[in-house]
Amino acid sequence: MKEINFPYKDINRDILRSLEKPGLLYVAIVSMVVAGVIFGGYCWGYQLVKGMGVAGLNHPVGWGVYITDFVFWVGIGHAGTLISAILFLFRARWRNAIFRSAEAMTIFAVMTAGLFPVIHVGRAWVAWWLIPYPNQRELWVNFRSPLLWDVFAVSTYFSVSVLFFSLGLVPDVAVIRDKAKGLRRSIYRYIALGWASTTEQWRHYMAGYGFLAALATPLVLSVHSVVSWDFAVSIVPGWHSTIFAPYFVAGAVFSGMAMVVTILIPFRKIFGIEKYLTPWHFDNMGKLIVLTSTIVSYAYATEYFIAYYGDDPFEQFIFWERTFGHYALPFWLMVICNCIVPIPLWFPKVRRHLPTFFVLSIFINVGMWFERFNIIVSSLAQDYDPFAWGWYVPSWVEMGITLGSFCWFFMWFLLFIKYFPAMAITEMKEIADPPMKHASAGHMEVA
Amino acid sequence: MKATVSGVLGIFSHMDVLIEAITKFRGEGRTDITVYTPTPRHELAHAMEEKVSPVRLWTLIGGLTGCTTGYLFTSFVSLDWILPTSGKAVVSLQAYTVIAFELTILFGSIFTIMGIINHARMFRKRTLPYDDRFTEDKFGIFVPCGEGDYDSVSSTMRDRGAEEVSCG
Repeated sequence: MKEINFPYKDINRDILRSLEKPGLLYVAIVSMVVAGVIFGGYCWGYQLVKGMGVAGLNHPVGWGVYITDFVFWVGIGHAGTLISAILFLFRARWRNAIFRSAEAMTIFAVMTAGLFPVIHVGRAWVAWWLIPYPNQRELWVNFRSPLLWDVFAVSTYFSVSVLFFSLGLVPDVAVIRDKAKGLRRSIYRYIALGWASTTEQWRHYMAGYGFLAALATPLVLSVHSVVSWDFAVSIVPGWHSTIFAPYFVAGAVFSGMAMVVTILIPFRKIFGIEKYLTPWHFDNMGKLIVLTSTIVSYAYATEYFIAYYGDDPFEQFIFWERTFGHYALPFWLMVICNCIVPIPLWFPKVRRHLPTFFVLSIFINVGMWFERFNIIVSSLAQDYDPFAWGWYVPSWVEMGITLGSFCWFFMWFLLFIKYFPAMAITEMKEIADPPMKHASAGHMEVA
Repeated sequence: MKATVSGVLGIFSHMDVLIEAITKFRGEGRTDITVYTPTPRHELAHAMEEKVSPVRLWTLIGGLTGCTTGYLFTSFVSLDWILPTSGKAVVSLQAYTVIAFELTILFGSIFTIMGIINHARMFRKRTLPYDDRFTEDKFGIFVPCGEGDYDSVSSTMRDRGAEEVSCG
């Protein structure tokens, strides 16, 4: 722990440095991702004008890349709440340096995920019919449908994540407010909500923060469970399985942690905060990735065992086809990236060698995207009746929107780190030794 | 922003000195002091003899409200517009448990935030003196008192280790 123990003043100075005037590299990266967002927006506009025919979706594969993206992005959003809520309750002190970025990532990932059901329904202007409200047709939504559970689960997850994230930001915004001048100070004064850093405020704040963490913990486990029931509650071969909930949750944490690593390794370098984000943090994240990769690999094997032992010919057929059939490529990409690529992370040296870890994390992200694609598309393409079979190939519109979604996600993250501290200042102080006159630990100041 | 409560503000650089000062003030019966700290510390909470925050009641009430709303709302809409689906019950409580669970968390979280805002007195104009360094590396104690007591309280504050003292 001593390696991230710095004087309070240094913590303020070092973390707030990321809010200074951006350099050329930052501007260039932001311009690139904004261009990607514009391209994605163009593709969606094209689909709205021309109709859903421009997407590769057709009978029998009605769910394709859009739902793949939705499930992928909801999964990416899981690491943030896991790190900020679950690790908070477990008092894992290594979370303090990374939870703010991970939480921001959660918000932006769920914002990205939320776009896809709207894009997928085609007539985006009636997507709000999913929300139950009194209307002149006297119709109500069907609360027995897993799709509606999903609406409630994802919107609750987004709302609670935003609340949790915003609450955590308040004391740090007060830090910016007290450092800023002029108009900037006035703006941050409003966002700081009157925070004065008194023990009385901290008392209620910490109590509430703990309760929010306790509420967010079952929530994070429930969200991807509910997403998995979109599939598991149906009777489609390859989907109708009781292991889907834990399997999806483990996969979500796995992909989310990989994305945190992908983002934080360049981030620490660009903003010169290597002494706050040390190999020790990545070592711990690597352990979580190893754990979840093992669970996911076990789940893959269990699916095959269930198909074999269940003796259902349709189930057996779909798993045979996934492995050796038309969609074998996404399957093997999934297996290689999610089960084999993470194996080197069992070794501490690899977890602490950040360039290697960065490359592995990208492979895991790719593997997890293909996992969702594999589950969704292969089952729909070859359902019970061979007469109804059909192959799905994503169109350029779908891939353009997917590319745009990645740019959209990174755009928000890049904007965030320029206006708010990407590391929690007050929580970094919590794990540092306080300034003491008569103590012998930490950065003691001896007269 | 100008403070509206008059008193003496002492600024401290060291937490152990601050804790000693808090203990002495409270020992003299001054439980109305306000302490500033850049980060929450258990040592300070003990020195201030803090009680359990009532925010937990807000969480409980929010959670119960959400759970009740989740079951009642879904049951109401199912009965208001009956959608027969094979042999399934019109009011399917098992299915509605998912909605009730989500609303328990949602309402519990919203009420918790409302509780924090209310008890931590956020969204309100500052009435006590403040120093920008309280969010950096300084600690502070504010003792409310009348103008006539400024000298004596300032002197006590300095004796107890305050490096800077201001009145107003």
